Amino acid sequence: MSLLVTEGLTKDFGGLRAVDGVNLVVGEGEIHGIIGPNGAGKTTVFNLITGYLKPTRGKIHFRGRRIDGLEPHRVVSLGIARTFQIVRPFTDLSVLQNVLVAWGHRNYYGLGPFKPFGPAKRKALEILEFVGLAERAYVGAAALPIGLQRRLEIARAIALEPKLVLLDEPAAGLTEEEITRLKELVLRIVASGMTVALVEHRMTFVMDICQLITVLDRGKVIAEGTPSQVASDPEVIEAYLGAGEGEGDA
Amino acid sequence: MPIGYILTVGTFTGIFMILTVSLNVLTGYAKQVSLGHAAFFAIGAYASAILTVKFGLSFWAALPCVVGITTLVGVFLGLPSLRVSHDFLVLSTIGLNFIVGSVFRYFSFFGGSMGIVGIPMPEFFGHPLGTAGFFGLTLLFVILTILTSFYFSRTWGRLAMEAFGEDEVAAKAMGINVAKFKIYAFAISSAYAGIAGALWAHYVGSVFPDNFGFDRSIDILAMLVLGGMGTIRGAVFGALVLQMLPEGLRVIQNYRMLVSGGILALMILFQPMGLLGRGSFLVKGFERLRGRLVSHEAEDMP
Repeated sequence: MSLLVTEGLTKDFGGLRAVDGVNLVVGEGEIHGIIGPNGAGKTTVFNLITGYLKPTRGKIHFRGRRIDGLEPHRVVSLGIARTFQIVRPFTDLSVLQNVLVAWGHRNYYGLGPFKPFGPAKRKALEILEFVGLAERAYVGAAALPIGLQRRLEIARAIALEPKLVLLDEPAAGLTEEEITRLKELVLRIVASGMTVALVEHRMTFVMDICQLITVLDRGKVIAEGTPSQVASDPEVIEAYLGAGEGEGDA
Repeated sequence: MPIGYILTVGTFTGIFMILTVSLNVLTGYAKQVSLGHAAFFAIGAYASAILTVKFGLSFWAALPCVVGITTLVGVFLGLPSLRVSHDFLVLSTIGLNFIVGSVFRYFSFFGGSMGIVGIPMPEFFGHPLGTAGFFGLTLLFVILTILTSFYFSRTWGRLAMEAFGEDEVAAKAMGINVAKFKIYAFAISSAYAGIAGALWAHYVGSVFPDNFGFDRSIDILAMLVLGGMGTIRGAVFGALVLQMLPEGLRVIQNYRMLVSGGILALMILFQPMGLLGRGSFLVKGFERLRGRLVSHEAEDMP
């Protein structure tokens, strides 16, 4: 069953068409990769889905409901969580408090803001346990190395109890060992009932864990399919190698 | 020292503690720096003055109305924060301070530059409160302010404010309706400031536009910054020090703005978290001492 569907999604920035008629279908329970060279419009697609940008044209349906044009916090409440390409932890807060902020999502309505957050600490610790950050719970978020800050971003996304998690370049800046652990974490997220869509530059990472890949180039979908289908697509090879973006492992 | 003098100093210190704790919600938690907090103080004072002098309400009957009015005005004056942030918000709060002052000065309904005089002392079982009684009343409101504010510091609302105060983009991704919570911060802060204003008006017995000028806003912000933004202990401590200091050192009173402005500038430059704020040198030193006995888990905000 398809969880997220975009129809003719288009976004213009002045005269530049960053996203051009993208039709994307993300099925429930899958790991869907969105790849493409720099400036292909991948992050813009995420920003459109999560409400940070309003589409120039096109529709976005999530679980059968139109969500394009909704505010980001509304999109979150409907069940879509995201991480950021450049990590954005709340550096004044501890790791645990960062997760609490996300876990509070259902308390930000009505009288919720006036209820104490203390009782939720146990649940936030469980989530930190899940991503392997439990022993750093009381450390300031700013003190975490980049690899762990990415885990914290994922922990916050999970704490939003979403149906769909959008990961924006989760492997950027990570070591090989950290990437291995990230793969394992993404698989566990899907195993626990969530769907994952991710934007990534690292081809090996995408090829290894995604069931379906959508390839964007200059705002358009140029290919879609399983990792092996996409890897052998001449247009994809052209887009990557032609643009001098090829990584040997593509 | 006569006891009446001490009680008077105590009353004014208490009123400023309420103001500083109220500013802490807005500037300490939500990071919406306000250089116009005296405007909220003024609106509380004028609201209570008008309700009691012109409409004949008692202090006690007027107080809930005052809180209601200042909360609503807080919502209204918070609207600019939805459009501008950081430096521009600071500028617009300065503007608000002058606008509110001008309204009280130029409209005869508010007494103009002659102000409103003859504001009655609150009565308690038919007897007007004396100096000691009023100090007790102020102390009661200080305690109520600290208790409710302490409760709020442990709620989801405070957490949401800390989050968007630091990073609005990330806060939205956490499901936080940033616009709504900004307005909450202004409303809560303004409600407390309204109580402080009402106490001031009834203790002094008169209100004039000059009582609530821009320099007053600087004073309040300097108190919070000195004590430590984001903590209630810092807010209380800052008000205590800056309100008592001029009493101990008379000479400072003539240079009040120099002291407030100087403290504000120096603290922001060298100790932005204040003397008792999170991560200040005093708190770190204290935690190091205590750390030998207890685990580091006991933080200001668990």
